[in-house]
Amino acid sequence: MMKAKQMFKLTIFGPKTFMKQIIEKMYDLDVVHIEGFSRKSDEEVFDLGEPFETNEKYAETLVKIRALITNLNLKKSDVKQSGQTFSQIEIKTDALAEQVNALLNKKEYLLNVKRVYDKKAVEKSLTALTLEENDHLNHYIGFINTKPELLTEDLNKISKNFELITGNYEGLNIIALFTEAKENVAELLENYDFSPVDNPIVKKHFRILKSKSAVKFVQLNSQVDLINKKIRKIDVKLNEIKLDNSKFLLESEKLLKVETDKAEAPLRFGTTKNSFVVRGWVPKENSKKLESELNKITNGKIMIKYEKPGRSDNVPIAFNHPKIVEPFEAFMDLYTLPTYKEIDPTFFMFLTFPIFFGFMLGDVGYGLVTLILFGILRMKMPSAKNILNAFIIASISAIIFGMVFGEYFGYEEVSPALGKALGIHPEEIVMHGEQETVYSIPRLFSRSTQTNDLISIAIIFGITHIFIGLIIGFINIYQDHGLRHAVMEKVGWMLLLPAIVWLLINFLHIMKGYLADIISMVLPPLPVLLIMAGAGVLMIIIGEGARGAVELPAILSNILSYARLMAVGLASLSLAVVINNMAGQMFKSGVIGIIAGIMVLVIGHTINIALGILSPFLHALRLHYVEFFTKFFQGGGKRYKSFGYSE
Amino acid sequence: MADISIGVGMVAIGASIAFGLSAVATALAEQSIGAAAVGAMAEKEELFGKGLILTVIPESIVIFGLVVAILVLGLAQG
Repeated sequence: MMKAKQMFKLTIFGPKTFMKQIIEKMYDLDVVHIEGFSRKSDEEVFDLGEPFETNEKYAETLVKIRALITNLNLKKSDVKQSGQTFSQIEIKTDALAEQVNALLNKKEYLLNVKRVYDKKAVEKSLTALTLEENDHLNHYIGFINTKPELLTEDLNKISKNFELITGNYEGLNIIALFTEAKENVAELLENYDFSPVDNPIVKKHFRILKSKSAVKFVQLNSQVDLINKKIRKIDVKLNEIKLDNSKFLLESEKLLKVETDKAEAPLRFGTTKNSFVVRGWVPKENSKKLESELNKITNGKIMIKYEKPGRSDNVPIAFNHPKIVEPFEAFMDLYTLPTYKEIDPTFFMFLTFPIFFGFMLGDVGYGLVTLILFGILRMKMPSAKNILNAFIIASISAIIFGMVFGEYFGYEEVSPALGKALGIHPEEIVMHGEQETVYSIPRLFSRSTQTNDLISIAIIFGITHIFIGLIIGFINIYQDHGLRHAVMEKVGWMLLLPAIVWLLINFLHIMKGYLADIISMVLPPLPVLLIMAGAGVLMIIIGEGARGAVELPAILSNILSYARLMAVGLASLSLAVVINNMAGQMFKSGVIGIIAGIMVLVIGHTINIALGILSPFLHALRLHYVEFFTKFFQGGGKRYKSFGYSE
Repeated sequence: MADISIGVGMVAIGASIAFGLSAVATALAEQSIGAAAVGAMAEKEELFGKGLILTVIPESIVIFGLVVAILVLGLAQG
């Protein structure tokens, strides 16, 4: 739990004839992190492997399928692998791609025409044509959905007696066709989705034009309606295709992805003419099974070698946590992964992050709202499940702290009537110089009145947190460089901590209240503290040199930094109280006041909850990254990615 | 309103100046680091952690401001 999974360095060496089988098996077992082979020098015996021949056609079809998935707007979901053969998939994909592309092209054309119609840019589009006087034929002027050359070819088949003038306006093909109006010409043009330009506009633009329009007078609006209808028809058709083929496409995508993964695997191998070598990493727990399975399929004709990772190896990190800690791995991804030798701090984040978050948010109402919010988000966005789970744990912690502080949407007391009914013991307090009787909701600790104790608690959290960090740092250095270094670098800082506590209580007066009194009773007398601190400083300077000396004041600011636990929480509480008071005043003044009051409550608390998620989250995260991690954490590990289905 | 003597009022103003100005100083210092850190992150996402640490280094200014404010407030009580 405290460290990443133990890894073995794996080398497999064998004849090329087994390569395919071994790749299949490794993919099935899904435990090997393949280390890409790289040629270090020209003397190297091994060359980079080449992908299997099948790869090219698989990849080609895969690209087509992915394009279809994007074009049809298919949602990726968990599906089984397709059971169809590759040639079946290929034929069906090609047919589908052709159909869909044709529809999409048509739609794009129609949208373009609509755009031109909508903008009343029709007249401008006519400038793309140069027409001469012509009075003995009828004309078709408008846009077509194809290259004019194709139209010319088709027209030639019908009659020789025509003249076609073409132009291009903003990517649209515009034509002026002069011909004797014939049924089959109109039919042909319809195939090309001919969209005519209004004759009055044509006449206005080309005053020299004497020919008659072959299309009846149409109004632009009805043209646009027609186009809209066509577009809708295409959408319906696309949707049909989507419904009919989504399973096929997703399943085939999965199959082909697996196949291309396998076919490309040799790119990460080293090969000679007749043999190959794979290097990689296997978790210790999976190593036995891998070895026996591979030996089984090859009858022991390959060499499998396991080694313990060496000092200079960059071992991939596979986290090793119980399920409840897993969400907090996301915070490590956000920062940097631990290296193989280091203690993995995820578990400590699991312990302290929710505490800090809850301590700052600390309101039952807000906690419930965020809990529900993150619960819904989790259902809506399964991809962000991990980090949202962390937030859900943090929200529960906020509810618990809310009960401790007795805060419910910023309300800490109930009305006298309700208070008497519930049998709450009344308290006398002095507020703004006036005596008041309040019925507080039962609580262990009041944030609004026990500010001194609150800051003391925050600082104590900080000292504990930093102390834990130093202990982890001690263990890390002890394992890496031995006891002497560990003592010099970390124990020095630990010895400094009691003196800082004394400073905070007796000199800076930041820690006050009964907690401070208890601590000052436990603290050793001042001379002892000074000797400890002196020894600590000496050790730091010997252990870390000038850098340590420069960083000496930093430990004080690190600890004081935890005062934000109090500050952020109080700010959120004060804002909630202000909102409640404002609404309370409004409630006293009639119906309009009540409506306005409700609005103030809803808007105010929404804003405060938004801040109440963002701010405690960032500050809790920061306390870990900056104050906690700097005491022990190096980072820079790379993630373990097994070759197989999970990749 | 409770009676507050001029002396106590001055102490309160002093404390808020100590805190407020140090907060402004922190903001000024963090703005350029933050901008650079976001720029670096746009190029390389893994730099989030390092960027965050560098960005919040000037926060010790405001923490010391807070300490001074609390010390000054102590004058009013003592």
